[in-house]
Amino acid sequence: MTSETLLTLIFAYFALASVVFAVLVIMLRNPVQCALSLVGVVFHLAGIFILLRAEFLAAAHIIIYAGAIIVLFLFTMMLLNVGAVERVRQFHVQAPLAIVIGAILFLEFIVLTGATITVGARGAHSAAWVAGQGGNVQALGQVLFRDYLLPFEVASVLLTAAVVGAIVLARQKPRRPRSSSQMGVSEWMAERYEKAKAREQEPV
Amino acid sequence: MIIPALEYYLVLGAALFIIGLLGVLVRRNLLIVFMSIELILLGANVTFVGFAVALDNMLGQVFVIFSLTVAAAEAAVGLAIIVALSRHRDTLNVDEINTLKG
Repeated sequence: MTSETLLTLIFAYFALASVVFAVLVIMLRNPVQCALSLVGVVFHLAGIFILLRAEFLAAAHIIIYAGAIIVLFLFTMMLLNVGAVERVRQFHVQAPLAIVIGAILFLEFIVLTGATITVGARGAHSAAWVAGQGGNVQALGQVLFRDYLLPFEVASVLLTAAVVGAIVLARQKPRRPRSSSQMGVSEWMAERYEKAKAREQEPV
Repeated sequence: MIIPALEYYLVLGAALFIIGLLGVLVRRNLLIVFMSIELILLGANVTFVGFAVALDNMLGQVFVIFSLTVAAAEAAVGLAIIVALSRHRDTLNVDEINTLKG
């Protein structure tokens, strides 16, 4: 078996598995199972990235998607009561129409890909250049921090804005108490006083 | 040179994109609609890296880093919106969240 066939087989496995997990994400009823399928998608895509010799991005996808974003999803499901949502109907009525349109779009894409891809002028970052830099991570760092330093800094501004926005949005607004667990201290004391007085007036 | 050819990676990216698009169109649970948006971004990332390697241009991989940043920011803000929404409306069904409907 040549190494080319082997690489194609490995690609086929990773691609098929990630597509199957992606279908599971949109088919399963329980949101927790959907999130775990998304972890499967991310891990198999990391395999695809390693096939492409983009090792840093493979690691970054696993760390950021599986480690941060999906954990955030799971925490949100823990905070909200997702069990109550599960019982309602899961799919829109227009689902068959959407599937047909998606299939047409996909076929169109395959036709266009086969017909029009012509790989034109090549960039400066060939495999030999990457190897000369010392590997994928070093090469990516060279390009990112030399040529694209300003966008990198702007991304940090975006992240700061997102953190501040998330805190502001998710903060518990002060509002009238709904249950004893959310009551202010003075109200709680008043209620206890009333209860104690009522108990005193009970006939023994 | 990449093995297999670039077209395979592009078709994989398109498949993920369309599965995510179907999830956004079809599902009624807001959390799963959000996961479908993440799938769309993953499909775009596969296309970026495929082109970056096929064209010997590192910019595609740099752009995936920015795409990851945007995905993380979007997840943080979106999930905060979901938490605030479920506090107000007690539902995650996208059909019942229609306050902005004209």
